Amino acid sequence: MSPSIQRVYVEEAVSEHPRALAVLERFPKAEQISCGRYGEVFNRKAQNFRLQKQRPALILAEKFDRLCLPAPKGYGIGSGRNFYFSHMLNCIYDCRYCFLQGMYLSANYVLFVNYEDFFDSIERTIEEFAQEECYFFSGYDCDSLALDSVTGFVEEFVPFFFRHPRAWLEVRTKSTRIEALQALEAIPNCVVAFSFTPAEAHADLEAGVPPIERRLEAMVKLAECGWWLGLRFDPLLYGDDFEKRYKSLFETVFSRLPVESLHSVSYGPFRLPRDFYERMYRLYPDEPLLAGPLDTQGRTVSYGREREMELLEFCHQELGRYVPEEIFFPCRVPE
Amino acid sequence: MTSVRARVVVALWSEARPLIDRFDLRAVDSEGPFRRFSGDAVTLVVSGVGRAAAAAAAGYLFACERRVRERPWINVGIGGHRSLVSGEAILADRVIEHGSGRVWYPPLVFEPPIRTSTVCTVDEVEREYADDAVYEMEAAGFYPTTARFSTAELVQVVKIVSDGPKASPDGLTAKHVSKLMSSRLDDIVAVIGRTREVAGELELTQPRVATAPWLERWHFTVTQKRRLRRLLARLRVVDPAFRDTDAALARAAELPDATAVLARLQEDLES
Repeated sequence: MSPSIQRVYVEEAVSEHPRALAVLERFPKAEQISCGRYGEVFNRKAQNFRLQKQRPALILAEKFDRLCLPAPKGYGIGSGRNFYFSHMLNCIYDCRYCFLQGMYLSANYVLFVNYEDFFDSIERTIEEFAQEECYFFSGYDCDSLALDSVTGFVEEFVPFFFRHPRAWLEVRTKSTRIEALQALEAIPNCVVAFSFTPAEAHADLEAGVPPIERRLEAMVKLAECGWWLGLRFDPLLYGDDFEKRYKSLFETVFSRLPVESLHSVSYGPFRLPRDFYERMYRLYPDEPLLAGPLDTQGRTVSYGREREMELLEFCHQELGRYVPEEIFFPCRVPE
Repeated sequence: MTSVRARVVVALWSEARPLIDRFDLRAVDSEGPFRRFSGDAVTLVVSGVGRAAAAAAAGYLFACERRVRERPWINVGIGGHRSLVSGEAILADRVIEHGSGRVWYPPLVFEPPIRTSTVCTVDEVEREYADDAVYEMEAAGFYPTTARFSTAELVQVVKIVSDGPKASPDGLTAKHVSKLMSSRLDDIVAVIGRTREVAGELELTQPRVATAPWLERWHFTVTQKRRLRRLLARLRVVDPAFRDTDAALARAAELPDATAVLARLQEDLES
């Protein structure tokens, strides 16, 4: 089901773009407002992400530059070069730990409709690093699949990567909207990576996210179609009984998934840039995750080294019971 | 229902009159540069015509209201449109300053009770009605000013169509303006009410921390006061014991100074 969109801002430059027109057709009752550049709506100061999350608008825009960027250090699922691109900004889910709340001033969704420019940029990157394997992450600033019925992301980007077998695509999601993937032939250089937190965290912190069981069902179906799967335990969340919670989560996950379909398992502790954290705390001062004990070191807010190590070591050990270490990729964000 | 009061800016006395009656507002501060009225749900200022007057009146009202932020701000008034019938009410989804080309996009987080439209602010009475917009003279002064006082979701512009190609603005009388406003009073009140509700929701999310008893007991520097407030706000969320100020104070009773109090609170947070 698509989210309910009551307002669509359309950059004048893309008002006749076929992809923009197709999106507008999906929301015939939505109010349309013409705008110059998406930043006039999206980046304005004095906006409240929390309030806007109640009724996010969609912004159809064109991305001019910085279409494909090096991934942050420590972010990767294998050797080679890591890049990310964002055809969309923001997400239909409302996860309280999500850094997007601290990064953006607005909760509106921005969809960049000029996919062809993304393709050009990705192609140039592949050519630039012709001797290396390149990984391209699509779910950094959004959920890759959650709005796929609107964006047509899978239908466009997966065939593109099929034509570039030396490049890997990671489709990262918490969504169960896998129809478009099921409709395509699985390609060997695409990983469909699902994020999980323990059931308690899912209930408390992940508004709108499909239940763990439904995500696992979707993964099983994709595995049956031959897709590579990824597991992303990110962020790892600390709590008094985190061992019990993660043990239970891993048992649930690995009792369902065929391990041979797993391309990679990555995990990383809850961490935020300090200014993102401050913004998030101001938005949600009533949220225990943000009000609770956190450690600020330099420009990073985290659980602190000791707790992080506890989390990482425990999860590493537990995951080792189910999957070979060669496919473990702890996300190591530099201090 | 929230107790958060909305701040309403209108240009003309004839626009204000129906709102004053409806909200049972009383005149306050007759010596001030603008006429100001206040009631339980609304405070209202009559700005006079034009962008600069609207901005100045909004600033004045903000100062009079002790500069309390995150309050609803609504600009209500009349305007002309090329095709909408006289008496139609609109909520601005875009405010254009005709002279400069600057544009603002008031975000909307509730279902609008009336149709939405572009509002175009001009410096002189519009007679061409060239674009599909409501032409008026205050919104582009009101909006960027009040968006400094409140988050943009709480700043809205409501206009009642009063003139157009078939009904010249020259023929408008004060009586007619009041009548137009009265005819759409329910819609105006609905927008004010919904914006107040949003402000109420926002207020509920803000931590209510009683620091006064702590400040009476120990001397805190300005920085320490800020830290105290933050620690108490966080502790209230993670430890129910801190929702009772007396009990929380009792736990720190023996501590000699503010530094020790803050250290203890930090320990409590981390434990």
